[in-house]
Amino acid sequence: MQARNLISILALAALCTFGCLAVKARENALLPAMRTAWVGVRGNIELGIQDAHLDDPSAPLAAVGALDSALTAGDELRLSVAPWELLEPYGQRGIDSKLTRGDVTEPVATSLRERLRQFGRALSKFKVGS
Amino acid sequence: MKQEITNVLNQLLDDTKVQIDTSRAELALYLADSTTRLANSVGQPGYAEALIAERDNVLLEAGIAATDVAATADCVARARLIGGIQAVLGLGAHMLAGGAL
Repeated sequence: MQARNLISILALAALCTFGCLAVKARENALLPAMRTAWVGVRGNIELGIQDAHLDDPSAPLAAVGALDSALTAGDELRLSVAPWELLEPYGQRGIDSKLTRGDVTEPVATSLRERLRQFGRALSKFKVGS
Repeated sequence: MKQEITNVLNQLLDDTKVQIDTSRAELALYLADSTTRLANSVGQPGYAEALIAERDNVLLEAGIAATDVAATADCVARARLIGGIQAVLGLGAHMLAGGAL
């Protein structure tokens, strides 16, 4: 019985250790990368919102602000519920706007779109069960 | 850019003792893709923006790889981790110097 308890405790300790590793990886590798990338990602999203000429842009702007503060705080819970499906199309739109204006060329736009995709992948790592 | 990649990967090295060998090949491939995208943008309007975007892309890929590997809970010796990260950093430095992969 004691041996079983010991095994259970060791198994729990192992789970905790591995779980902590995942949290550490998110905190120390993924979050700093996301904070760095967010500057450019956010710029394209905000440009997309601006160019969409919405009657009421408060919802996407609030989502941008919420994601910004969640990244700053490293709040995994808020990151897990960030409405990326709302923001991502505005990011695409912002990149398209730059392309239309001639600010960037298609190869450059490819890099910007890839960053948007990578940011979405990174954000998905905070979803429950990912 | 090199310093930022170094800083993030050093954090990874110090704070997560996870197996990265399997991710190393994927990271190297991603770096090669990134270099190709960047090479296509050289001298074009917005190149500076592409450079920043590709820095971000590589950092995000490294962060995603670290998270995925940590989630598999596959732990190995620190020396192997150092080797894997140094290989990625070496490729990154090569890319920054304008070299092809």
